[in-house]
Amino acid sequence: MGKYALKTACVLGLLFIAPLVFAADWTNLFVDISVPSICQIDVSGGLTLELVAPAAPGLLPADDVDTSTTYAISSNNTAHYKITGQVSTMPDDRPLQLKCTMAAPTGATSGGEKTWDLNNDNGDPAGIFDMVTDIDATVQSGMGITWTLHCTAQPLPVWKNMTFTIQFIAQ
Amino acid sequence: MRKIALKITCLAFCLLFVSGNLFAWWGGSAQALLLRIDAVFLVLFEDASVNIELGTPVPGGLPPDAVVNTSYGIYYTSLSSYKLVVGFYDFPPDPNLQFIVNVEAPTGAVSAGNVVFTSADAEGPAGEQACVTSIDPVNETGLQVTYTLHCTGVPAPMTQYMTVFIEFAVE
Repeated sequence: MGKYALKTACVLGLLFIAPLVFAADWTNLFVDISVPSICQIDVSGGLTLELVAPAAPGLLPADDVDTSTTYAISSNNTAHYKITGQVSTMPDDRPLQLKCTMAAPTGATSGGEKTWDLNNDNGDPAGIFDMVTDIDATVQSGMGITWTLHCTAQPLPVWKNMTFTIQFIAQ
Repeated sequence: MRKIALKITCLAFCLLFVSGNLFAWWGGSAQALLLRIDAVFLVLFEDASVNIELGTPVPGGLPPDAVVNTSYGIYYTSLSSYKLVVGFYDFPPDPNLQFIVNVEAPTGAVSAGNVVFTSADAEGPAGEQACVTSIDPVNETGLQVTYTLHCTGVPAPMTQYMTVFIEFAVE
């Protein structure tokens, strides 16, 4: 028991003396690095989709296609993530379809063209679609968003502000 | 004091943990969309021109009426009340001639029937007359327009090019 006590005292003594001996030469600091899960997405801006008069009676207005906007993402998640899209309340009683395609970043998969039918009776959002899937860690920008406004019958006049909400979430 | 310090430490760790997941779950963006469809007033003759020629009368009589049919199409989406008016430019100055126009109404509208024009009142916008009223939003083609050239006396020989116009007017 006495031997152990002596050895312990020696070790503790060395531990106490060592910092004093080397104090002038080095020091250390424990740094706790924390990188949060990054899941950022942003679109480049808004747009207007307009149906104009057809060339002649008997025809319907041609589709309005807009490719002017893009989106960017930053993600450090190694698990698959996806982008979902949803449009806000749509105009009632209009024979309109709103279509959207989001190009996929490298390595991911575009969900293709998604269509919201605006001619529902209550004007509720038609649904949430998976616009892009299988997104791994990536930092990319300039992925195109293609919007199409299509009418299935003669549409009455309307000006409607809507919101396209996208979420970057785990698959 | 120790309990408080412990609670603060625990809270800090919890926030650190939760914040990482919040980043993951709240990656989102929104895009403003404006859907725009303006009212359309489109009316179009389906023949570029027609030729109307008076026939030879029997001795002692006037030339029989000359009747020609053509057609028009209409694309109309206004929610306000509009009518169609018909008028002429370069109407023949002969006082013995009448021009009778009958415009078929699209579905839901009302035709004014035979609309009579003479050299005294037919020229230009000032002489235009209503030919179709109570128009609802419509998209139709092949609607008949009948022109009748009628003599009230003996007309002088002539060849005259004139322009017929049909346009929308506030009802």
